[in-house]
Amino acid sequence: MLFRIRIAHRIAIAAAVPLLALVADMSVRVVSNYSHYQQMEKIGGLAAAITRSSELINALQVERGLTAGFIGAGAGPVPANLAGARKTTDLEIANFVEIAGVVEAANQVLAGKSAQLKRNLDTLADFRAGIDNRRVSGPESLKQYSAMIAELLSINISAAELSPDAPIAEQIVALSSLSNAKERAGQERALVNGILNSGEMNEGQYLSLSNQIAAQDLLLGQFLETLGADSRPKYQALLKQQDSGAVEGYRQKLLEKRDAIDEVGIAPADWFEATTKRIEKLHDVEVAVASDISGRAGAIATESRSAVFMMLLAAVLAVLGSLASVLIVGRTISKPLGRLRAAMIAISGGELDTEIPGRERSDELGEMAGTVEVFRENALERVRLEAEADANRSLSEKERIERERRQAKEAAEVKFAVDNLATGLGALADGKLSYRIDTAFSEQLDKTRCDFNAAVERLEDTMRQVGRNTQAILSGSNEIQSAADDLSKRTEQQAASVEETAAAVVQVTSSMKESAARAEEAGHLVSRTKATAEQSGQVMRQAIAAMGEIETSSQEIGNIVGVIDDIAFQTNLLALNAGVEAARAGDAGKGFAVVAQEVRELAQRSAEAAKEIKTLITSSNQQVHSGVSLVGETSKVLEGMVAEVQDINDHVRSIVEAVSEQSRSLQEINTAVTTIDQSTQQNAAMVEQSTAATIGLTNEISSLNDLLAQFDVSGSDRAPEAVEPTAKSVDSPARAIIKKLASVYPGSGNAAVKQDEWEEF
Amino acid sequence: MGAVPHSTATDGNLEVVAFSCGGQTFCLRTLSIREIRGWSQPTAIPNAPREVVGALNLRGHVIPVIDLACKLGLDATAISDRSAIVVTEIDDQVYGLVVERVSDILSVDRSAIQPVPDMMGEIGRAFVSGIIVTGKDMICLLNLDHILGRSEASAAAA
Repeated sequence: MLFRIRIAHRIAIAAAVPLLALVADMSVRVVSNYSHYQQMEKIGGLAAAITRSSELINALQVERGLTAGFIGAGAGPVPANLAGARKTTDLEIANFVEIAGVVEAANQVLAGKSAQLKRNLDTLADFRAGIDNRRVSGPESLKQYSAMIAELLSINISAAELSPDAPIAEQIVALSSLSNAKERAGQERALVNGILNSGEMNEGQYLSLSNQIAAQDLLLGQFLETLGADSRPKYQALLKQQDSGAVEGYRQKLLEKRDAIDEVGIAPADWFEATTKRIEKLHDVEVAVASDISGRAGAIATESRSAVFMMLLAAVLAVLGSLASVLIVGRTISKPLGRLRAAMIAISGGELDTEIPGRERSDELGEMAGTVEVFRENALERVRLEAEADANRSLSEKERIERERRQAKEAAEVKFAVDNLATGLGALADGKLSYRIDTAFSEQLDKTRCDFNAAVERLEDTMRQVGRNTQAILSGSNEIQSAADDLSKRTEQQAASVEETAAAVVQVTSSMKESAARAEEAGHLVSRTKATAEQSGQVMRQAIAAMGEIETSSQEIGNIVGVIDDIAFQTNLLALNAGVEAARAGDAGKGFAVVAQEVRELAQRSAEAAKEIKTLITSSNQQVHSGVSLVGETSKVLEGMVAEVQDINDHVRSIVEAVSEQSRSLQEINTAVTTIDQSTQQNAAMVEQSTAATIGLTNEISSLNDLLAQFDVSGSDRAPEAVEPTAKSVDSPARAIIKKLASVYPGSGNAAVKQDEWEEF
Repeated sequence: MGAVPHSTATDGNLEVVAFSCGGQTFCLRTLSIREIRGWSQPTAIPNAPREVVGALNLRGHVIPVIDLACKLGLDATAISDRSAIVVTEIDDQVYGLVVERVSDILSVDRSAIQPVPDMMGEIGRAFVSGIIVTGKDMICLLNLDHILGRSEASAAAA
């Protein structure tokens, strides 16, 4: 975008930027200085207001002091001095209000304060009436006047806050301290006036008095402290002039004899005069300080105003100077540049005799002008060269005719050579490789003839070599054929072996299966035998149990027999006793003795029978015992049998496992035989392929021979006769093998598939 | 036991009860026997002589029980279920005699009773009244009065 603006304008823009900055800076400075000047003007006004307010304060203080005296005296009409003081006060109020109006208009900060002040002053008339009627007490009047004075004093402080100049602010603050000190002096005056008039001093008044004295000293010290070092000695001298000797004496007396004021012997008028003189002195100092402030503010204001004028002048001059320099520099660049541009446009438009301006300059524009001059000269050179080229265009026609004649001669020679070559090529096309071009051509073309002859000779040699190679290939082909026949026979033998092997494997497999079945059957039998033996063992155990039961029964029978034996014994005893009784009875017991005898015999017989039974039972028990032991032995034998049967079972199982293992091995053998079979079949197929390839080769050789026979080759033996393919689809032995194998492995169908594929060879 | 022919008690016949004692057969006159009891353990009497087995309650009367074999100077009787206590009465004194077993009641002809041979001495003759011969066997007829003499009676009474 910047590139669209003309250079002169660009320079103007570049110059305008700092110029604007300069103007802005100047305006800021001027405005700042002007505001400073205004501020100082205000301060000057304020100083005047302070002077006025100081006068007013003074008047109020006098009035206050007299009022205190009037109230302290207790009775009598208003004295003449108090009335005069009131008049003075009214006059000062009027003066202050006049100047306060001016100050207020210029300074808003003071507006509120002066308004308050005015209201206070308005109530003054009522207040005075109250004093005259003795409605107002001493301290009350003091308080009222002091409040008014304090309000006026606060203006000074506000003025100090406004000042931007440090020494002025200091002086205003110092003035404030001085005014305060003076106010304290005024208060002291009023206080002592009241005390002297009343003739006694209470504790509060005493404290207040000492407080005022101390405050005055402090404030005066502060005044001197706040002043700058340059103005301090002057005011110090002024303060010393104040006649404090009389006042000091009165003060001491008052403080010493505070319990007996009557005895002090100070007339209230004397005190008033002395302190008023002192206050007047302080007032003089105050006025001096105020005028000092006013003077200083006025000086600063004047200074600021002249600074504003100087700056405005400097700014205008700087702007004008900048504009002039920009105009001059811009013209020195843009004007020659415009001329150079016009000259360049003219040259590009073809006006080559245009004068290039500014070549004598030594700056960049001068260099550019020099360069443009070089361009112009180049253009002139190019115009000259074009004119020369036009002149050269018309050449001689004679040379051209001579050339055409030469060309016709050359064409005749070429035609002769081409004809001869055509004849040679025709012979070559007919297969006559012995043809040569004997007639020589023209000098340039004779090399073509020689090349043709060499090419034909080379071709002839090659054909001869091809014929010989064909013979060799034919004999090789025959050898391959016989080898293929041999391979075929061997493959047949291999196939036969594979067949036998396969048959044997099949036989072994079947016998293996049979033995596996037998072994399994034997296993079953053994298992059954084992079961039977175990059953017998069970029966044995039952038999043993039964015998045990028999034994138990025998035991019981024995017991019963024992009982019977016992009964027999008892019966015997009874019979014996009966016999004894019968014997003792003598003859009377004879019959009874016989009966007893009979009974005894019966008893003996039953005892004997019981004994026999016992014997029988004992023997039967023994037999049962032996039976039990025999059965136990049988049981043990049977258990042995069971264990052996278990062994047999294990053996039979391992036999079965071995047989199945063998069966797996046989399966693997079977797989291997199948693989061998497939390999054999592939071999047979390969033999077929090679036989077919050999036949194909032989056919190819004969056709090659036919082709060779078409060429007439000089000095060569006759091309070999086409060989009849001898092994024309001989019935391959491999095919018979495959048929056999197919019958052996009815499952493997690929043999049949292969057979079909072979038909296609 | 031999097959002794039974005969009814006549004046010429002597009724005896035969029993085995110490592996030998002895007999007592039936009239000296009150009854025959099966074996029952008598109550042992402290500090009694060797042959006194103990005392037995016979229907309210306490009687001494004496091992006859011991008394006869043979080995002590092996007590079994078939042992018996023969209750005898001599001079109103009742004794129980332990024997191995009671065999029979026999009626013996007095003439069949042979005297004890002299060589046995007085003491032997005092215990045995005579010897009854039955076929091949011999039975000693014991003299209870001597066997259970005065001294014995007083000892048992003491």
